[in-house]
Amino acid sequence: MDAQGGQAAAPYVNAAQATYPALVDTDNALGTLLGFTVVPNGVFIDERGVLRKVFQGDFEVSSPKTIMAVESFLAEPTAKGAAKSRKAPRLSDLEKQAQSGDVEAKIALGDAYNRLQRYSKAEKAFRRALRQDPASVAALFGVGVALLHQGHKAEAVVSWRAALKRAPDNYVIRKQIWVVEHPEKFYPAIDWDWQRRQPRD
Amino acid sequence: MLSRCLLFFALALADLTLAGRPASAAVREGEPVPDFVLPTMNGKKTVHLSDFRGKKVILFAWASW
Repeated sequence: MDAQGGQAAAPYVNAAQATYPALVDTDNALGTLLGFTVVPNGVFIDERGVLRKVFQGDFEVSSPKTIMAVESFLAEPTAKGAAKSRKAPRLSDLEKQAQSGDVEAKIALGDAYNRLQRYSKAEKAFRRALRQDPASVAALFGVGVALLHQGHKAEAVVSWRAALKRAPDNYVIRKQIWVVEHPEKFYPAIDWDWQRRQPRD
Repeated sequence: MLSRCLLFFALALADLTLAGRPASAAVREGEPVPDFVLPTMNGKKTVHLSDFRGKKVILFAWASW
């Protein structure tokens, strides 16, 4: 949806009459954290902040299986204490860390810039990461997001295709390409038959 | 039910979505989840995972596609 952001999701959230926070993950923060390669996913985190369960690609909210899993999790006794978890790093910390030779640090900085909609800086950070590791799926993906938002759709797709070549089972990337190249197949309604007909190579 | 937990959507929006990270980079079950921050749908606020410490969190990640 290019620059549409949360606007594209709003109709779904409104239709669901959601009473809980609806958040937008524009730069794959959760994909990074939890290793998502498909959606829809469910994640259970307990009172201590500990990851209890991840359901990848099979978390349909209305399915009996999902409802049972949610009810079972909620019925568990309260987890006591606080686990030691890392705080979200500040941008200044990420900028310092990216000065090192660490590819992941450069990618984290690029992600942060994308999240702040500072796409030119994000592109530079990802390109620095790619100079060190040209095969980095995360950097190829991230630079594609940055390029897209700077109006370079064709270049973004090239970068995503390179990422997909290295991670052919990643349907998040695959669908990303589809939706940018064929938005009419996704909005205002998803054409599932079209998706089934697409080659998977 | 909802009084005991916080349920929220993480919207993976088509061209701007969750990404192709290697699974090796992921947090494993049983490990603490590092704090993260995401903007709300209208972009006017941000929400940290740590805002919900002491509550069960059920996160539903989906895409409009």
